[in-house]
Amino acid sequence: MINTMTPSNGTDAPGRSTRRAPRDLPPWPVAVLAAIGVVLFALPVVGLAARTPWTGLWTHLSSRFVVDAAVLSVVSSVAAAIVAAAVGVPLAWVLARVPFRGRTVVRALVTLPMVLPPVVGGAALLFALGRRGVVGGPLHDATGLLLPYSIWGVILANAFVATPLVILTVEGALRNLDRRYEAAAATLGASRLRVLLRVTLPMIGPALGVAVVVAWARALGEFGATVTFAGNLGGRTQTLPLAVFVALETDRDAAVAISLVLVALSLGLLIALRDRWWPSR
Amino acid sequence: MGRFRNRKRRAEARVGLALVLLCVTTLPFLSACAGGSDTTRSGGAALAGSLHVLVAASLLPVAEALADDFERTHSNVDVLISGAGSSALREQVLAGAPADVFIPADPVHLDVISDEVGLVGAPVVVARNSLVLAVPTGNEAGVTSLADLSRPELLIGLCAADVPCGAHARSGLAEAGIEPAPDTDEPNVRALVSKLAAGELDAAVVYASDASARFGASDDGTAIISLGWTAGTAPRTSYVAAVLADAPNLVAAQAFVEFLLTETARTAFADHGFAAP
Repeated sequence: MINTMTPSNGTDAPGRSTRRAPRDLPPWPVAVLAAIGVVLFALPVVGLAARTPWTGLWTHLSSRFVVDAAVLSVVSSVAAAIVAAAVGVPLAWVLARVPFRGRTVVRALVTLPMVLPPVVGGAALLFALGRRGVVGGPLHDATGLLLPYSIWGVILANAFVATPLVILTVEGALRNLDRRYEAAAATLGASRLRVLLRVTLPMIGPALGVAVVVAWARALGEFGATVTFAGNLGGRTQTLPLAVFVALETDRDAAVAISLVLVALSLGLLIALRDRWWPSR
Repeated sequence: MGRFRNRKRRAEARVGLALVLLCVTTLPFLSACAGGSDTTRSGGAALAGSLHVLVAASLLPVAEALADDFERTHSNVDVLISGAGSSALREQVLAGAPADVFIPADPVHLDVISDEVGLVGAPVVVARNSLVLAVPTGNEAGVTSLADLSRPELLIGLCAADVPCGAHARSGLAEAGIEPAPDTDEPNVRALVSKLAAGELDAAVVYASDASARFGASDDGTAIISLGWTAGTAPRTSYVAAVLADAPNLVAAQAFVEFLLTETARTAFADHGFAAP
């Protein structure tokens, strides 16, 4: 993941010559397995499109609960992406640049949400930050603040699963960076913060962009941690994925319509990203 | 994955909340079961193969016990229990999930299945349940009656409107003239009970069986307490067992439903707080 998501820094000129190489024809097992792979991912999209109530699409999408869920989804996922960037980038910098004891453990810890079932993450958040949680309990007693059942809970759950994507991507980019530019800036008298803001961050800009957008997309699709930690209430904590989940049992057409929007949005985003930041071909 | 239980791994009375939440919440996304291997439709007494039983989430605590009892007399049958909100299970069945027996918490969930999938024989009522107002042990919010469900400052949980516990709770509350102010509509009753037992809700409407079960009890003995239905007659629901027309293990399915009416099964239901049919 680190490598594939790390954009080229324009220093891989030798690699470009391969573009002019004759097109490779895959050995037949490769072709067959690759084709199966495509079908595997295309099939659900086709299935969704086949079930879509095209004529009443707009009616479904403009219904109250869908609009409420969409607004909440956009707000919470954008907020989560901001949180992910604000916390993830500094953390990535520390992990990439500062050798310290236990770095491996810290890295594993902060990327845990990527491999953990989101529901487990949500339950863990509840144990930590719920009203009876180890931190949430005293916090609630002292301030009256309650994260579950609120948009703050949704944002936190979303950020929890999205931040590791920022950390991994940015750390990978930082590690591949040619550090001579930073060294040059430092020799010319730039402070550490100035080097970070004026040299380092601009150089990893594309990776940072990918990281934030992927984190946002992950937050937009988040279900398990959200429903477990923040609950499910229309207009307050019911995001689009939760709305799909509920609608699947009550209003199948609406569920399909929302799903289609989520698929279109994500697919469009990934295609745009590919062209913009990942060298195709 | 998580939700899918085999009777051999009996759940202890105290299940970690994380696991419970994991199970309950991911369950509806998993198709009922992957197995689907053909089982011989052997006649006579020699029942064999796996038997897939889909149960309403509220039946989960007793379903394990029932599966164990059934397997004791039919040692060649492996009963696989899968539980979720009745409406989620209904959709799974309609989507072709391999299953032999379906026991929703409300007969209405059999209607469309009867039309589109078909049932073998008439569905039979195997147990009944009623709804209660429940609070976590300690009742720190001082909840006393159903009217407290409309207090906005309390954390109130209900089941989602389409699962039986949510549908009956809403109609029952409407009848009592109470407009609840829920903070969450949980996808099924187990998820709701989990949050209530963890003290993350002040009050919720759950089944009498949930409040009587040891399920959710933590090491210090805290769990949930039933305050009963404080306004008139409590909404009731009945569990109806149906054998699906495309049951891969038809014979065992019919035997299992018959077993649910035996004295052994009645005792198990009663032990878990369910009322007789």
